[in-house]
Amino acid sequence: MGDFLPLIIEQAADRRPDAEAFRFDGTALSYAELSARSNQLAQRLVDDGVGPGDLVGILMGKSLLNPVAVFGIQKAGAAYVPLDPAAPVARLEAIAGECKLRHLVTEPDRAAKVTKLARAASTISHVYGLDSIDADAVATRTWSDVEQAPTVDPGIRGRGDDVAYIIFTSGSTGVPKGIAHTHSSGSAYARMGAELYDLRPDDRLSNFPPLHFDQSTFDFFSGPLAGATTVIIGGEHQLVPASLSALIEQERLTVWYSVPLALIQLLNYGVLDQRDCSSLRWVIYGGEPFPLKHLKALMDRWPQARFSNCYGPAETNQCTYHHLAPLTDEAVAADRSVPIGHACPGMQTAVVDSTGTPLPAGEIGELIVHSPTTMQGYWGRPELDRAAFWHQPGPDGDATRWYRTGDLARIDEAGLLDFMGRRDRQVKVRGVRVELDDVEAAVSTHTAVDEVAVTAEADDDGVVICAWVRLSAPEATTADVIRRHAAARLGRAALPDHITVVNDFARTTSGKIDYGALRLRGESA
Amino acid sequence: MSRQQEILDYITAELLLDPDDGELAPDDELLMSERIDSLGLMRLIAHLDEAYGVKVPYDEILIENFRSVKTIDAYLASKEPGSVAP
Repeated sequence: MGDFLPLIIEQAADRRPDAEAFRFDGTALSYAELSARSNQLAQRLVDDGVGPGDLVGILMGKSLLNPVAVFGIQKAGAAYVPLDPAAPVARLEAIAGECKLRHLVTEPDRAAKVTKLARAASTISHVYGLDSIDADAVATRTWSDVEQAPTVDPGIRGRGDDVAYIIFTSGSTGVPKGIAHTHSSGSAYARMGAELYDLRPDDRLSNFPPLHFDQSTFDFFSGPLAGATTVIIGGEHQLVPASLSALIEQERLTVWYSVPLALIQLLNYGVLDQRDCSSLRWVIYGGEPFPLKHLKALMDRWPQARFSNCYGPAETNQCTYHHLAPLTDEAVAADRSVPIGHACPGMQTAVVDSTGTPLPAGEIGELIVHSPTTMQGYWGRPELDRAAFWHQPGPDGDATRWYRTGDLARIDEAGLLDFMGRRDRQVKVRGVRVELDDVEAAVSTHTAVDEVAVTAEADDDGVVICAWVRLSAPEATTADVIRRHAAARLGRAALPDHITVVNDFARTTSGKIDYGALRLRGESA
Repeated sequence: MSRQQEILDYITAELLLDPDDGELAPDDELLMSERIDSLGLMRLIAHLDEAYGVKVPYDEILIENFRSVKTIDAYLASKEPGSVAP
């Protein structure tokens, strides 16, 4: 036995069956209903041959079907693999291929995309949520068929070290890499999150990120662990800041968690002066730094809320936190970034040099993490695991498995961790990881592109990606065409915001592109 | 080129999440069908200011005004001097 994530909702359903587990668009799913509906999906999956060790894809927009799919797949003993419904088919196909996905859970208005994917990914044999599909040898079941299944649990109890979900991220070679979390690592994170933010049954959490974004696991596991209600945010509320602020007021949200950008858009376009958001007691952000002037403005706007900066790659889940004190004007003027703070309870962090030796305070080194919330490994990629993990004594002398974050950090004079950038060419765009080499690889596949350099620049609200291309012949193509070409291969966050055609690049003495000379500002936009 | 066509061309060239989802038509759902995302919507609003001098008040950033290229064009028309509020 041991940890098994669906037990979270079963225990909540035993305690308070009628309490609302999830809400979406004004309707609710109680813990008892979620338990029954996820059992039905699990029953159908088991009927169709799914069992422990299997992976099941989810391709859905936001709805109350999200938690039904998540817990239903896990109750069948399988792990869920969330797919971005807006991603190009080529990327979805690459993920399906990495996972050898056979089963896919979706919803009726995804028919066109699912059909394209099922035709491209030959492993897919079962699709749930559609009445038919125009692809060879693919069986379908509708949601009404699923709802005919028995509402009892199929009785499968995996082990704690079984994979529970896999989050895919961009890989530096263009091949997506899957971050495989187990029931143990997921449960450890659920417990830590619920404790760190003292979540309670009367809390109402936001679920702003989509399922394929790792932050969603806080909303889906920590919230239910506390018996709280999670409000799934989709449609108009996700798109229009003024609608989102109205939702916070109407749903009386108490705990918010997202990347800074969503909060910056709320601040700038959310007509917050017309909204009563006094129900918020926690505003948690992570994924990237929050520009200080916006952060202070929001803290001033919502003085009743505590703000918490959290840090952690998807590989470890959140591993440090810093609950903020009020920001002074001097702090904003100095533009010193907010620390990422302390290791979360039950976790260890260290700042080390390239040999793994801990560095004294003030010196910049790589941040490494040892924690029960760390992933099992990259799905099917042992060579990546070997590079990502260090097996060696920690500061306390015990032999432990440390995850190398690739992030640079230092311990400041107050004993807090400061984020100091990356070791490599990875950037965060709206909280999503982007490998600049991956973007270069995608742009360079266009036949008219002879050479490309991709850089990231800071702008007012975060990071913008700039691609500089040299064409095979003058006017061989246009920036628009290149953008469309890249869009068919890259996720939205990795798509260059600016594409500039250049006659040639500034070069270093060795003839390589001089990346330092590539700057958007001062160029004719 | 009509303004409607200009807007359609801009969105096609700059904002579509997955161009392989098919050519964009003036009546197509832009937002609710995830052809563009919230960031695309914000860029579109900045573009309407740059290209047509229309500053969209934040409480008019609504689905009904930005549902499709056609509704965006109609919204811009309602902002022209002498037009009646939509």
